[in-house]
Amino acid sequence: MAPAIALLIVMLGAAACQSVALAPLGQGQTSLALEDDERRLWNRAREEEDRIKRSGLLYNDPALTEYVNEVAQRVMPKAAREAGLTVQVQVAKNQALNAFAMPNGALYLHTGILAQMDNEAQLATLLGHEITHVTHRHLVKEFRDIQNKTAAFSVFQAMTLPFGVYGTLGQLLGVVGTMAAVTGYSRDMEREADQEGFVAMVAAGYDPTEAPRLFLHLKQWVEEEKEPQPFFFNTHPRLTERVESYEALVAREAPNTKGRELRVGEDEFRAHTRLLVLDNALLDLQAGRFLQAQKGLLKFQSMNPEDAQSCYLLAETYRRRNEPKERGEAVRWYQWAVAMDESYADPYRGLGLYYYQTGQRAEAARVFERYLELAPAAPDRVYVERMLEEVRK
Amino acid sequence: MKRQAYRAAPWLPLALVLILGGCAPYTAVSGKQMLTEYDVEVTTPSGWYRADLVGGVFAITRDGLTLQFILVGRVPVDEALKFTKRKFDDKLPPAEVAEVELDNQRSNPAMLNFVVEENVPATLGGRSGFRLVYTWNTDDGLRRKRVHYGFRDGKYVYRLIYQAAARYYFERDLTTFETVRESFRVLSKPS
Repeated sequence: MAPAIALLIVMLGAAACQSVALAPLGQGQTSLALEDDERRLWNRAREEEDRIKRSGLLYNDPALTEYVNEVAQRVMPKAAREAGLTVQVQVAKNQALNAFAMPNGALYLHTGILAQMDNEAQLATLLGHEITHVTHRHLVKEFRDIQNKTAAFSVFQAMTLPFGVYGTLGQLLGVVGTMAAVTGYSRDMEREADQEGFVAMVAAGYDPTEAPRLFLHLKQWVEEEKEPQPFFFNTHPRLTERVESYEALVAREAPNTKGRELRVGEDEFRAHTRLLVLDNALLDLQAGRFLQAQKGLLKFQSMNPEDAQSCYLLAETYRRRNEPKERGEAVRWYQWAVAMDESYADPYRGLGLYYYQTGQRAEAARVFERYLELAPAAPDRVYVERMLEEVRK
Repeated sequence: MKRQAYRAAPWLPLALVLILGGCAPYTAVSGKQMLTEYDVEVTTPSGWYRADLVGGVFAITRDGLTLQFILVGRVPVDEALKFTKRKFDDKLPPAEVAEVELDNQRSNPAMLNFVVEENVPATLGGRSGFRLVYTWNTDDGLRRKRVHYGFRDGKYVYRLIYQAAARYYFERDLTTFETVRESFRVLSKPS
C-alpha cells in the first residue's frame, strides 16, 4: 500500500506544484470540469470500486441499499447534481464504525456505524458529511497537499497505520480508498464536511437536533469499548469536540427551523435496518464485543419482541463472556428462546454447553439429548455426542 | 516536483524489500524436530525449508510462504487473540475451542469471503481436539485454503496448520501435511 501511495504521488507530481484551492463541484459550472490529476484519481477510484464489489464485503440487502441512496439524493446539493455528479452508496459488512467517500461519489457505510443510528436524520447527517468530501473535492486537495508539503511524512503515516481489528476495508482498498477510509482528511476538511453536511441535511428538511446525537452514540461506543477512536475519527476532530461543534450548529440553526415540520424518519429507518442490526450484532459476537452485541440484539428485540433467535444470541453473549455474575442471564435468555419456539434446537445446545462448563452433568445430558432430537443432522452432532458420552459417565 | 517525489523515495526500497522479498530467511530442515519451546515434536519432510518468523511459531514451506506452509505453535489460554476479544479458557470443550479459533479468523478483515468447509472432532498427537477446513480470499483475489488442527491441553491451545493457495498447491501438498500431522507429538504428559 505504501509504495502505491508513493507511486501515485510521483504520478500526480509529474504536473508540478498545484493549487489546493478548488471550487466545489457544480459551483459556477454547468458540467463537471475535472482537472487532469483529479480525473486520474477518479479512474483509480473506479478500479477500487470494482475490487470492493468482487471482494464479498458488501452487505447484500437491495432494499436497504436503495433506501440509503434515496436519503443520499435528498441531501445531495442541487448544483452538484445538475452539473452531473452522481453519488452511489453501498453498505459494507464490517462492524467498525466507519464511512468513507471516494472522490468520484462512491460512498461506503459500514454496518457498524448504521447499527449505531436511531433514525434517518442521523443517517442524513453522515451522508451529508461524506457527500461534502466529494463535492468539495477533498481527496484531490489532500493529494495535492501531500505533494506540496509533506510527502515523506504522509507516506510514513500510511505505512504505519494500525489495521488490527478495526480493519475497515483498509487492507482491501487501493491507494484512493485508503486515503478516504483510513488516513482520512485534515481537520479543516472534516470541519468543512461537518458544516456543509449539516447545512445539506437541514435543507433537506431533517431535524437538526439529531445531528449531535449520532456523535453522542459513537462517543459512547468508544468509551464502552475502551479503545482508541475508530478510523472514522482518527484524524477527525475528537468526538467531544465534534458533538460540541454540532450543538453550536444546531443552536445557530434553531431560529430558521422554528415552526417548520422536520423529518426524523425513525420508523422508515428502523424498518430498513432491522436485519442489519441483527447481522451486525453477530459480527460483534464473533469479534467478542459482547456489550455491543447485546446492545444490537436488544435493539433488534425491541423491534421483534417475538423473535427466538435474538433471545438465543443474547444468551450466547452472556455465556461466552463467561462472567460468573452473568451466568443466570444466559440461562434466562436461553429459556426465553425456548419459550418463544419450543422446536428451536440451538438454545438447547447453548444450555448444554453452559451446564457442561459449570459441571452440571445431569442437566447437560438432558438438554444435549433434546438438542440432538430436534436437530438430528446438526453439523456439530459428533461434538455433542462426545460431550454427552462424557457427562453420562 | 521531482524533488517532492524524491522525498518519498527513501521509504521505497525498504517497503519493496519487505513486500516483494518477504522478511523470512529460509533454512533447509528435514527429519525429526524437537520444538521444546512449543512442547512439540514433529518430523518435517525433505525439500522443505524453515521460515524464521516472529510470534512464537515454527513454519516450514516448500515453495515460499505465499504458496504453502505448515505451521506449529501454541498459545496460552489467557493470551489475547489478534482479531476477536473472545478468549480461550481452561474449561472449554473442543467444540468451543474450535469456535473461538474460527471467530478469530472470521473477524480478520484480511480474510474475505470466509467459508468454513469442515469443523469436526479430531485427535492430534493423541489429544482430543478438532479439525477445521476453511477458505477465504486475500485482498488481491487469491483463494487460500487452510486445514487447522488444534486442541487445548491445560493452559495452552496447540495448533497445527496447513495453508496453501486453494488452486493446485493445496491438493498437491496435503498428503505431505498429513504425514507431518501423524508425526506430531506433545512432549509433556497430558494435564
